[in-house]
Amino acid sequence: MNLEFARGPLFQFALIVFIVGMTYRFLRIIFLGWKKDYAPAKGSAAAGVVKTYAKALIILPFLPPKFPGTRHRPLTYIAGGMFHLGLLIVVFFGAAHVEAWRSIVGFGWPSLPTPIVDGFAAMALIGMVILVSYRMVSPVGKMLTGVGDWLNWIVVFIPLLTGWAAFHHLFGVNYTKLFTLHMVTVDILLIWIPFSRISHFMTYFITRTMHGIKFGRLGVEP
Amino acid sequence: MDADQRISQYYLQHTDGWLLAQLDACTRCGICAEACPFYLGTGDAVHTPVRKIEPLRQAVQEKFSLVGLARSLFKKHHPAADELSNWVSEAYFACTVCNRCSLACPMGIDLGVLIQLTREGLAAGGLTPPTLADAVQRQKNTGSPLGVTKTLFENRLDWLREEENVEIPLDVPGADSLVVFTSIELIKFPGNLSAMAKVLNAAGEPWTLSSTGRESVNFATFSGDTEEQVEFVRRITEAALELGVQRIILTECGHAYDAVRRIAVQLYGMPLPFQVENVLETIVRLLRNGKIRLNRNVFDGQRITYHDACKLQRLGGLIEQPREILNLVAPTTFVEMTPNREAQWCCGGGGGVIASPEADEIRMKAFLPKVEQLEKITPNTVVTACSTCRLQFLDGSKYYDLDIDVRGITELVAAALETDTPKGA
Repeated sequence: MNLEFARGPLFQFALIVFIVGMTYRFLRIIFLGWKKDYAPAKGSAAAGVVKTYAKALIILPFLPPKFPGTRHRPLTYIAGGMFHLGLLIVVFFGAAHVEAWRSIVGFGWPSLPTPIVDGFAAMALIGMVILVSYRMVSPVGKMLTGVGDWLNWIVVFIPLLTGWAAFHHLFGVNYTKLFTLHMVTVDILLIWIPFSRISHFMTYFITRTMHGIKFGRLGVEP
Repeated sequence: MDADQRISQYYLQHTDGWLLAQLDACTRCGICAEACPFYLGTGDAVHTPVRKIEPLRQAVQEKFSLVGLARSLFKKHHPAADELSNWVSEAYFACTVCNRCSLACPMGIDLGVLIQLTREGLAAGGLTPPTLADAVQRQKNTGSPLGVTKTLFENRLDWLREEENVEIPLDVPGADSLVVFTSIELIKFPGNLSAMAKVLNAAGEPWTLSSTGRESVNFATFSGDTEEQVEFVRRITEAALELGVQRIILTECGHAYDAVRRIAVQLYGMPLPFQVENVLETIVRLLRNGKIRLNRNVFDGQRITYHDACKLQRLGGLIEQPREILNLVAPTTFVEMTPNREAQWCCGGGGGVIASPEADEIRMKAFLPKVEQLEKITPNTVVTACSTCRLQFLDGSKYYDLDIDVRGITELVAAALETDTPKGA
């Protein structure tokens, strides 16, 4: 496929599908609403929300969990944290990506030095490999993983891998070919997200907030 | 309409934004498995908490996702009729709705509520396990799932008054507190009743029992029968309104506190003239107000630990109260299990599991994480504030040959009461 098409019209189309799809999913949740909690509050909902984000975003992804029930699988937590942090750094602070953002939103921001971003990319890739091995090896992972989950993994992994490979001029393939492949798979990913569980990047903030409110009100450490 | 259709209809009627967000957010990571005593005790992946909501997920997915819609054109209806009995045993026999998984989920998904909703749907399809359905029916007809009628109740109180030489007021209008016991305590742990009476009498708090609102156990909570659940709560709140009390005190029971606290306000749609209090809060209130004083040396030389009942700590926020009490009553002998508080392992008996003979084998396996916790600190007494936990600990310690005594926290407090002027004989 032609690079100009992949980063031009196809990308714009993918972006529109992504935005419209995610907006639909978000509004559907908001408009269907939720039940009121009638029990008298014992603690602060706001404090619950703050605590739950602090724990979930800062503590849990990198340290073996403080919640001792998960004693057998700290690696899943760590790998999940590696992947998500790596991905965010690469997408928002990689030099080439900042330029891409500038052309989409009209302004840019400083990027991180290349070796650092490269390290995070490698970390994200390794995290993904650990996560998929868990799905292949563990009985619980095998049972819970369906066709959709495999597709999700592939659809995320390929753009990450091709982007990283293009940057390092790997596999003896020429740069333009790899870059085209990267753009096409990114387009596929954007179109795929609203129809899949990858949309959890949005629902996460809804469930996490609700979790904080509920347990904050109950006076329970969220 | 067939059971499977009634079930999915129930789920779809109860689909709101909250539910969609919860189902969408799950990444199928399986971390909830590690939080579940039924998974850990059996080592079997089928007991992973998120799998227990499969019928709910399938029904909702069929209408709310493109894949589901497409699939429903070609394949049979979901949840499939031939899989229902499996979902019944997962939701009712392999889960106590202890909510431990809700706190472990990295996405913050409230699995406890989802499993309860799963039960409700199965119940709406007429698939409530027979023992639970019978218990609900018995509670509806006799006022108690154990069949404690008004006469039986009164006879039992008479016996206790005589045996324990303690004053137990019944149906006294204008008392400060209406105390509602569980029939498990009345039948199996009457020591809790006399202990509570001794504590309240010593504190000089005007209290009463009610012959109509006499049962705090709510079997409809376990069966998922929402209509009866509200009705059973109404019996208690009506009694409280009739007697004109300032507060309802619920004794050693996990789910009752949560059910009454949540439903009572909803029932009348206005602020209530009474508060809903758990016995743990009552004891702490009396201690802080100086109404009762405790001898701190009664339990010297023992090793006492506290088991948090899941519905009291994770759904009730009653976490520091029992510790405050135990640090007073057993300052040198109280030891914590690890993990404790919010992360405490569930005993495996709650949520109606202990009442279902089908679950007898698995509930002993679900007790294994508890055995492991106990072996680390080798206590000689386990204290709880939930009668179901207490029954499960008695069964479990017998099954695994553990040398422990299981007590209600009210009994401990009553045994350590300091009375300036000796009462009674």
